[in-house]
Amino acid sequence: MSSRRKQDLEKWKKEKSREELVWKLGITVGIIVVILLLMFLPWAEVYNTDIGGAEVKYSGWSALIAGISGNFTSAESVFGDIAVPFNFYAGNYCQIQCILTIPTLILLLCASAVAILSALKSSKVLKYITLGLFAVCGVMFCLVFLFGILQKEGNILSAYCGGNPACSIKSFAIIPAILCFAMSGLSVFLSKKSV
Amino acid sequence: MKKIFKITVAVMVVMFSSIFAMACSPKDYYLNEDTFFLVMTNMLYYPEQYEGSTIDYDCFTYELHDVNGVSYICGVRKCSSGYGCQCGKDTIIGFVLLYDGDLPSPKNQSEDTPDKTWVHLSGKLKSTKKLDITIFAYNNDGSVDTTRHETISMLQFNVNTCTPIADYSGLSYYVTK
Repeated sequence: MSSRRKQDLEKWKKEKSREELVWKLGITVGIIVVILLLMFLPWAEVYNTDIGGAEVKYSGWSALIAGISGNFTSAESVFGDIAVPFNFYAGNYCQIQCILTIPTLILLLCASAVAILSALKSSKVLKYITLGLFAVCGVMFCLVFLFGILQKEGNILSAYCGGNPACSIKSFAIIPAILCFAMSGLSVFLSKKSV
Repeated sequence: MKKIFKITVAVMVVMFSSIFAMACSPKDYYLNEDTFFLVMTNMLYYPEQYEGSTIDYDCFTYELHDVNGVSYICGVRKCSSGYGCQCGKDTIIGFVLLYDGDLPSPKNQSEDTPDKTWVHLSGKLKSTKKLDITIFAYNNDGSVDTTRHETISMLQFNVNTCTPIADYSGLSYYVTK
């Protein structure tokens, strides 16, 4: 092969590699941002069909702030409706969910950092660490979801729903869990290919 | 890489510091139109965290009579049924007032109008123990049913200062979450 052709081939390989890096990084960062945005969804809400919506609720970010500050009884808007009714009627489950959100988010940030690194460098080790971290993250979000739902074991529904049997407690923490598992699977394809 | 790490750590330090600062914020409370219902409700459920704090709020005076004919002057606003809201003929949320001086008499009691005796109160909770007031129940048409009783539980408020409010146009007669 002539040297000119070799140079053209090298140039093409570099451009392809850069393009691949851009879209892989884009997908990786995009999914991570979406997961962080999903923390604005209700970690727990009382859904009442009588009013066609949530009577009371709090977001993942409110749960995080409550968990970090240890303040589950404040009426500040940043805490959502944690104090009343969730902490008052189902304190144990509510507080566990809030506290569990802290290591879940830390793990998510670690997994995100490793995923970005994996997209930049070709390393089998990084690929599998990303896979593992996101899988564990998914499990953590599942636990957060579980403790959100378990708050129905308290007396919230009987206090709030006026006897409406269609009233329920919902948690949207399952959605970031699903995305974490998806990210875990995708990480194999989003890491940089070995040369 | 090092720079990104430093920035990430700095952001997390600022985030956690502001969260701790929020948790340790000042203990006095000035209830406004946005916070009145939520903070009042929170006081009913967690009175111990408001004990000793100076509370300022705007309300109208309201008189409750128990089944034995004892009268209580309260500082309240109207609310919907639900947590924090006391039943009776008029759904209200607020405190039973304790004051050395004379509290302005209620006006247009039980009429659905914001034209009441509005006052600005400053003071503290007497204690975390709620006062149970037994009143006669009401029928759906608003008439008193002397054969049935209801119990209203309210916190007691030691009033330091009571200032009449002439212009209550900016105040919400009816408060919700």
